[in-house]
Order: sequence, then structure tokens, then C-alpha cells
Amino acid sequence: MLEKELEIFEKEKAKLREENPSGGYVVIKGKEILGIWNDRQDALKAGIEKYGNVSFLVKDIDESNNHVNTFSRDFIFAN
Amino acid sequence: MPVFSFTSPNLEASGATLTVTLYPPIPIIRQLQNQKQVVPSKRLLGLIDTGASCTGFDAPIAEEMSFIVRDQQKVLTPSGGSEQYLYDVAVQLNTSAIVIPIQAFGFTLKEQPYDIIIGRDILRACSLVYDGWDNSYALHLHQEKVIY
Repeated sequence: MLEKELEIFEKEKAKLREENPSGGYVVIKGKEILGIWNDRQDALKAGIEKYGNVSFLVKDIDESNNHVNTFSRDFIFAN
Repeated sequence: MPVFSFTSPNLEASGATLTVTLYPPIPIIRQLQNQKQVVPSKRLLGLIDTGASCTGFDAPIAEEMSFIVRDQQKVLTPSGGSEQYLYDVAVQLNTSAIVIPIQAFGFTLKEQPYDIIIGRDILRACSLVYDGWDNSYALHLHQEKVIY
């Protein structure tokens, strides 16, 4: 799931940050970068309007906002 | 400001729980509403977990509600770190009129009496008072702090 999109994000994230210094949420489907939005819900809406309710990546381009999620107990994650 | 107050016969055993209604992400809710279609939802029993930085729900619910993975982030648990996928969803706490957009993980909760873990991503808009001595707890939802 989202392997291609995550690969594109890793490849392009430095450029995305340079071009968008105030940050934002990028929408990527396959190899296509749809655009960047300030609000995650707006990015989701744009992706759904363009591609439908299917799989695409919505990622915060600002790494400092990508905090690590922590749980005080172990879980078996779904995927 | 909605205030949800509860007492439990044995709070130590049950933990602080409340009803959570799970919805698709807000853009989907609005799309369905515009199309005059029913918005799917699922009422769940949630455990307030201050040890969880993020919310997560029982994994089969994702398939049941046709949720789609749209992000991947790092997760740390006592046994180590991993990259896990997240769903964009929306939640409603108890009888609050507010629907809160969040990203949530899917994991196995099948042996637990609750279906969703309410993490600090939701609690950041709340004040929680837990009184173990009195077997009571109260959750105040600060609607003005819900950012979406």
C-alpha cells in the first residue's frame, strides 16, 4: 500500500519543503504530485475530487510536524 | 462546552470509557450529504488512554466501513519502533455535536472490551478529571480547541 507514493515523497520532500517553506500537506497518487494544501482536510478533499475515494497519499511535508506516535503498550497493527 | 460525567461500579477494572461514533473522513461526509446519501457510522466503546499519543480502533472496522489508508508514520511501542499505516476518519464523542477529524491506526483489540483507544490527539481538546477514589470521571470537550 502506498509504496510508490511514499517513494515519490522521499525523493521529492526536500524540494517540496524548499518550495513551500511554510509547510503543508502534499497529495500524491502513483507518480503524480497533485499539489500542496495548508489544511489536511482540504488536501483530502482535493484528492477525493480528483481521484475518487481510492488510495492516495496525503503527507505532511514538514518533518518537524511528523511526530513519532507512541503507545505505552504493544499492539498488533493491522497492516 | 460539553461535559460528560460518568461513574463506574469499579473504575479500576473498567477504565475510563465513553461512547465514540466513528465516521468516514469529513470530505466524504460532506460528499455523501451533498448527494443526500446516508453517512455510514459506527458506535463504539472507547477507552480513554493517556498513554496513547494517537487514536486507534479495532482493525476489522476499517474494512467494514471501507476506510482507506492514506498515510504512514512511525510508531513506538514498548517492543520497538515500526512504520504503520493510518486512516483519515472522524469521531464524535458521546453526544457532542462536534465531529473531530483525526488520523487513526488500525490494530487488534478483539480480546478487549472496547473497540477504540482515545488517544492524546483527541484529548488535547479536552479536560479530563479522573477520580479513582470516587469511581468517577469527567471529560470536558473544549469545542473551541477542536481545530479542523
